[in-house]
Amino acid sequence: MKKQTVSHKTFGIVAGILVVLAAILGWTAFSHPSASAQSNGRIKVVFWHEMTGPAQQQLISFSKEFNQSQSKYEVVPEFEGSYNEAVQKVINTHGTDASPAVFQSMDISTSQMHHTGYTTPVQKFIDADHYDVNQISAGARAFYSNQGTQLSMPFNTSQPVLFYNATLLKKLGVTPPPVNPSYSDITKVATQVMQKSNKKVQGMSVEIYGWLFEQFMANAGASFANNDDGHTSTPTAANLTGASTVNTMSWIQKNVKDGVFANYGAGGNALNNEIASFLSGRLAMFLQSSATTTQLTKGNKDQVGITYYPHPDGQKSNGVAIGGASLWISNDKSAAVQRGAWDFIKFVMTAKSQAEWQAATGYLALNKGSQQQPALLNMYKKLPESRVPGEQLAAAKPNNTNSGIFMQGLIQARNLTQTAMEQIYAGTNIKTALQTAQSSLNGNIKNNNRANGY
Amino acid sequence: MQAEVTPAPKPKVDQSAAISHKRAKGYNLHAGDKYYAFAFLGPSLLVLGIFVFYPMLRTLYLSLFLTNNLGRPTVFVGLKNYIGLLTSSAYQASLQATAIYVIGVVALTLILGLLLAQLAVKKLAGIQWFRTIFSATMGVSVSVAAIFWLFIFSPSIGLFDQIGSFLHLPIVAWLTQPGPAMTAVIISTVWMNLGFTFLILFGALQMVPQPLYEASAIEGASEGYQFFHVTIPMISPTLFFTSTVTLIGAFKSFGLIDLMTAGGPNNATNLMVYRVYQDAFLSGNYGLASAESVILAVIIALFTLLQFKFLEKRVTY
Amino acid sequence: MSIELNALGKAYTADNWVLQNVTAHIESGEFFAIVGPSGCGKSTLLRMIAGLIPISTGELQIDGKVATDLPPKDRQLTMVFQSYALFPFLSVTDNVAFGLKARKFPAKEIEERVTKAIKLVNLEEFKDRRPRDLSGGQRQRVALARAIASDAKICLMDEPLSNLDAQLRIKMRTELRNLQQELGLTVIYVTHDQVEAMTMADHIMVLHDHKIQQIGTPLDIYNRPANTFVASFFGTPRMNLLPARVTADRELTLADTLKLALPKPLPVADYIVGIRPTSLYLLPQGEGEPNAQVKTVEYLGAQILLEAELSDGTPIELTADPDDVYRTGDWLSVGVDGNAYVFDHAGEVQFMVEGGRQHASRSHASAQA
Repeated sequence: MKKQTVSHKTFGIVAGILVVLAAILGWTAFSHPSASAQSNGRIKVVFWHEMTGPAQQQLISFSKEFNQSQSKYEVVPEFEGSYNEAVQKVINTHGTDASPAVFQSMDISTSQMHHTGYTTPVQKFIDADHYDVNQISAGARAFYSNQGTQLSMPFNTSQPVLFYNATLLKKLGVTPPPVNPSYSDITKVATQVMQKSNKKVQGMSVEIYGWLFEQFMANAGASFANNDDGHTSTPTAANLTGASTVNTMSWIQKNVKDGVFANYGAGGNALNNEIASFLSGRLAMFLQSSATTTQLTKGNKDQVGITYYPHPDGQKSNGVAIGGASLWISNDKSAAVQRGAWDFIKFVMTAKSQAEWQAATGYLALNKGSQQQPALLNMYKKLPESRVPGEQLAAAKPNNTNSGIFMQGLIQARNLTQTAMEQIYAGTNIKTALQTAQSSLNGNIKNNNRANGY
Repeated sequence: MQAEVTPAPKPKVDQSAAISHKRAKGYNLHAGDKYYAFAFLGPSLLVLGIFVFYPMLRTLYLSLFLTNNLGRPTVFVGLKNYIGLLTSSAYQASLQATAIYVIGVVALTLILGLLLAQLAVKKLAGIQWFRTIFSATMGVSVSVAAIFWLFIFSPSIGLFDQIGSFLHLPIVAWLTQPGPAMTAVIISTVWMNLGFTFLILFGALQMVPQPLYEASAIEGASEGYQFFHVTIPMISPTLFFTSTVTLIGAFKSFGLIDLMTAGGPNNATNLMVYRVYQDAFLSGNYGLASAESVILAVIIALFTLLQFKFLEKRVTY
Repeated sequence: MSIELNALGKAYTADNWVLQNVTAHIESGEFFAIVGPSGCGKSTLLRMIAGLIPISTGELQIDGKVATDLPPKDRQLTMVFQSYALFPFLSVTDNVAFGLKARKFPAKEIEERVTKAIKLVNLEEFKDRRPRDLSGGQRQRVALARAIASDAKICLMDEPLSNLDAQLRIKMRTELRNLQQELGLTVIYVTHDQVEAMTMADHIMVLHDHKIQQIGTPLDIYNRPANTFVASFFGTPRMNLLPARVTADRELTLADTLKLALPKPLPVADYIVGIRPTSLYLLPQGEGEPNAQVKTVEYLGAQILLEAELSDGTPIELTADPDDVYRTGDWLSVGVDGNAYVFDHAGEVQFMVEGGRQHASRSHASAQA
């Protein structure tokens, strides 16, 4: 019958459309460059990183050099956006072909990454290879280890430091701050800058940045969370209202109120604006990561001075924690791929690689042998101040308050401390602001521990 | 095909009865027709199911849980995520900020868009150029716009403060003070929206028949009276459309906020949708973020419904 | 209220005159039609009177007062548009009340006037409807009601009937005229349809080529056209315009075929002679000298319209008795028995040769200038 043929045809067309659609869906959902597939007989090792600019260039060079140095593995570097986004990507792709073999993950996600159970602690390879970890900076190692196990390899590491425009201070006739300044040293310099420049130059700026908040606490020897900042067991409460924290915040609030400190706000724009003002001679001093050293000195006619992170008056500096990120090995890859990842990590941690890394980026060379490498020696000769961050790192003895906070949900925590800082800068009562942040944070910690079954 | 199945033509009365029956109750499908209905609907249902319905239901489900560090729902908390949010002062502040932002953006976009469109329909020398300029922001991407406005609002090197200092006005820290920061993101968003709104309203104004203005001019209506009693009612369907689109767009604004203030300072511009992003994709707190998106979806749906209910009555003619 | 147009002119760019030297006097209570083909400037003239288009030169007086530069709302007039210009979002009542509300009349007076106006145009049962729910004719009435409600004594109408179908148009002509009489309105009515103008107007202004061709009563215009344009524009079927030359003292030969006796001698020159189809007669078949051949035959009911060709090839239209039978190719003997208009070569009328049968060499015509 005619009807039958027609309906068969129509149905055939519809079915065909469905099949094509399903095929497209399937293709987009499941086709992804296979991460562990072999190419040219080499084992592919996908490396996720979040570096841009010179650091990205240097990582690409490292990968090339590593690939040339041996014929077993091929490292493929892939840029994955911001630190925050990368954490979620790593978690969400775990167990699929799309996941990386080795990845860079930021400082404050250390506890979270460890708790996912998605990674192989590098300690396993350190033990297997009898790798000499003592050549790597102890302060940096401490940050990424838990109860004696090295979880990941510290990589791009920076120190919070104070930058000042030495040329500008000289021009104004202001004595620069000492190399390990106290709060009042900074206030003095900043006030003089303001007065002598007729308020044309801003004295100092402390960006509204949770990291800096944490560093003030570390340098004062105060714990951010209980259980020794999480180094002895999972934290159950935060402590943001201690006397030293209130003291630090009062110091900043008073200076902001007096117009001695400028407020550049929070976020990436704050950093950009700070740097723009510093480079144009409108800002004399600011606190920032040592990783910005290259950016501040390259092409700058003015001489840039660097000091340690400021500490409270009347006490010695406890030392600050590092910032930056470390390299992790995923456990969803074959032993061979993981081995390749570890070999790559060893390659970037050699004295030579680390020296090149610091010279190219401003992140600190973590291999003690790097100090004798020509790349670093050349740099110190050109820019003696660039020694300071490394010296600060070496000077600090790792303890539970200056080795980072081993706690999950630190991104949220930073949002809360930043909000508190914003309120304090705007003149809110310090205790109230800190108390608000603390109670929210405690709620988060409670929920988080509950959700994760701690 | 149906005609071939039917052996003989039905009597006329019967057919008209069948038609009226169909009108009243929808089409009565043959068994074979159902087969086709699903075959034809299948692809779109499949796509909708995968990309719309499943995520919606999943979001609703997740919002009732605490999620662990892998984003998996582990502890059922019922409505506690919602209760926690609605009672937290930070979330209330976010709701308030969203309200200010949405109202500001919708009102300013419509008023300025209408103003520009009204200027552009006038037959003046060189108006063609202005029409192009007015609609130019259509072609600007969010990131370019953000950079552009960041330059303008930047302290010490920004255009506004340069002009301000030249005129000896007090320097405004545009993006680091709550009030000015909200103003700044509203201005930037309105600027972004303006090209589209202008173009749509300009088109609507051109569609108003000239004799209506002539007739009302002769009947004694001043230009202002004409604007409110001829122009506005005539373009009200378009105004309704643009207000709805702008409202939904404002609720969903993300790019400019992320690039200009990242929700700060002091959460002054931390709009609901930006919080969802922060909690889900920065903090990995999917349960909370899901609850936030459900609240946002309900609010948008509510506003859109209200708009349809109150405005649609006035705009149909 | 009377209207005085005093040498009005309109130019959008210098020396590009859309209208020039338009002078006319419109009596109070008069129905004044402005007629012309499309593009003649008639709508422009109406808009100048309404104040929608600025007047470039000349002076406009309304009710004895200069109104040249007054804004539209102060000219005490109202206007009905071809498109009706109804507000689609307002009901019939609100459309009619629009102007009164704009002029801030008291609510009670608005209601009274609107009710009265709607009643006058017989739209009471539709007063709550929106324009889109009305027929073309009803919309037309709403537009009229709006004009009526305004109480202005001058009403300008721009082709108000041209969007209606033929039957309704004829019906509305009478209604419009009656309404105008009843309300004592001064109406200026623009149309391209000469029949409308002829049937409705007290006076007609014929516009063509940016200038006034003639102003007069419908009868004047029909019987004493000032030039070939007016002559051929008015009357259906159209007037025949035939080339003519002087062939004897007091005689013109038309298209080398027909002779026309003249009441007075004419200088030797080329002329154009206009003769309406109804002013030509046919000799019974077989009589007279055949001088025209039938090309087409149209039955119009009451009469037959013949299109023929004179022996020199000049086309001519004439009417015939419907009882007679004509076929294409038949030879006819055609003569002049009505008024003939003699125009100079530029088309300006010279004089009229009044009716009376003339054929071939017979000449018993009287003439007058």
